[in-house]
Amino acid sequence: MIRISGLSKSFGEVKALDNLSFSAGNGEILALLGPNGAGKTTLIRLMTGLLSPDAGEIFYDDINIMDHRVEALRRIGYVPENSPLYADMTSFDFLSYTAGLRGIKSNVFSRRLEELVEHLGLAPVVNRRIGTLSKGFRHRVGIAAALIHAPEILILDEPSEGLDPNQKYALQKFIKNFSSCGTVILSTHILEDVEAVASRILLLHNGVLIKDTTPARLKYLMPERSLGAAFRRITNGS
Amino acid sequence: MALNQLKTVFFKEFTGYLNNFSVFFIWGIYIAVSLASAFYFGSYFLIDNSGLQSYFRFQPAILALIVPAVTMHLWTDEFRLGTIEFLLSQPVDYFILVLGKFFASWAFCSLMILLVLPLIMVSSFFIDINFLSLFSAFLGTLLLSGAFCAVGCMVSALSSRPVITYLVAFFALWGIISLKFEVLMTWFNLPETLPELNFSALYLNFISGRVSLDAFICFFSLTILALWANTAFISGRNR
Repeated sequence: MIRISGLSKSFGEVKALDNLSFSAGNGEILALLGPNGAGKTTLIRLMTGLLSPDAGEIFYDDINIMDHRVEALRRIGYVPENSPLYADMTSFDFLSYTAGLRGIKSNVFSRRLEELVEHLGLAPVVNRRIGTLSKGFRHRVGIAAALIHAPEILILDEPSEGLDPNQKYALQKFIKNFSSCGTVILSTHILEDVEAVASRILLLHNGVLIKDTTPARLKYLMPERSLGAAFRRITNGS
Repeated sequence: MALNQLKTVFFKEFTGYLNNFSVFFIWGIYIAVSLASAFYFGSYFLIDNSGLQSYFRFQPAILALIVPAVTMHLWTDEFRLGTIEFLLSQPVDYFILVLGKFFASWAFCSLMILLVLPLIMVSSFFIDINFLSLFSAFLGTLLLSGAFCAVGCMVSALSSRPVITYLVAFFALWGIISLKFEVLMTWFNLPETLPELNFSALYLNFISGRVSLDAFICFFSLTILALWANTAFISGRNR
């Protein structure tokens, strides 16, 4: 369970987020939707402890990330945009390093690694250096690292950026599977992803939450029954 | 748990050093400059060298030159490659991350300092080596390199450009070894009975075979202060 209340963050004069509040429970796939500069990445960085808010609170169950950063981060798996990884490590070494940082015992790690290699199709690249992998595989290694500790909440920043249609489809399927046992929050501006996986949409514009709805409801706002038309109408008024 | 996390960060960084060809280049430069200083400037065969004073005398300056090259990638690479976002979103205390990186660089420098062992073996054929003095000199050099690694590690958290962090760390370390605290004592009217706080002078005590509490306190204080500042810089990125 994630609970966010009154979250605000400014960078100098620019208000990146303004008094944002929402909550999400198990089984939900929440899409943070908005144009560039809407505040999606700032929100994700706040949720992962990479930034501190100017005001407001973020709770994972009853744990406030500002007061108990380490404890809160144990519950989260986070895949940053473009999955920045250590190019000179092999996929195995990187996952083993992540497991070490998360304090996972070696027998648990072996079991989880086996599961993730199978689910994410990492078998051909598990002993290859990350620097030699394609973008799709690198992304999957990043996802495997985020899932190595079986988190309750998975946070993905622009997850399908740069993936081919097959890889996108595989990722969407994976996100749907994961949501059966946890919460997924994905930040994106790709409406196709939102339509395919999201159970709920948080539409951000200029740092303000302007819609908290479902994809179906958002579509029905416009006569064209299209997310794209609704998105355009809400975010720039056209 | 924290100890396992520390070990994980340490081994990742330490194996990263050993898997990188450029480190052997750093070791090569270190040993070449150290030997050249000992034989050319240190009058190796002309003075009483029972504790290899000719070799160790120049170590503060040589380490000020070499240590920044060892530490400059510790944090800058994380910033440059974007992996800082991965690292800081893991459930690890910032201080553990800092300590792991610091210990890795210190272990690497300690190995580098031990490269003098063949010289000791060769020297022992024609010099009557005083092993107590030698031990004291080693201890001093290891402590000094630890303090320098902590400063280098801290400076590397300030920028994503390795060359800049190298230069800043080099000048900072040069400042530390040149600094005369007596000047500060006069300025602030501190009693002259206070221990001498000059890093070079304290280090020279070590290579003369005198291990003093003042030196330990001074080197440890610098190390802890730099590690604390490093942690503050990393956690301050969240503001």
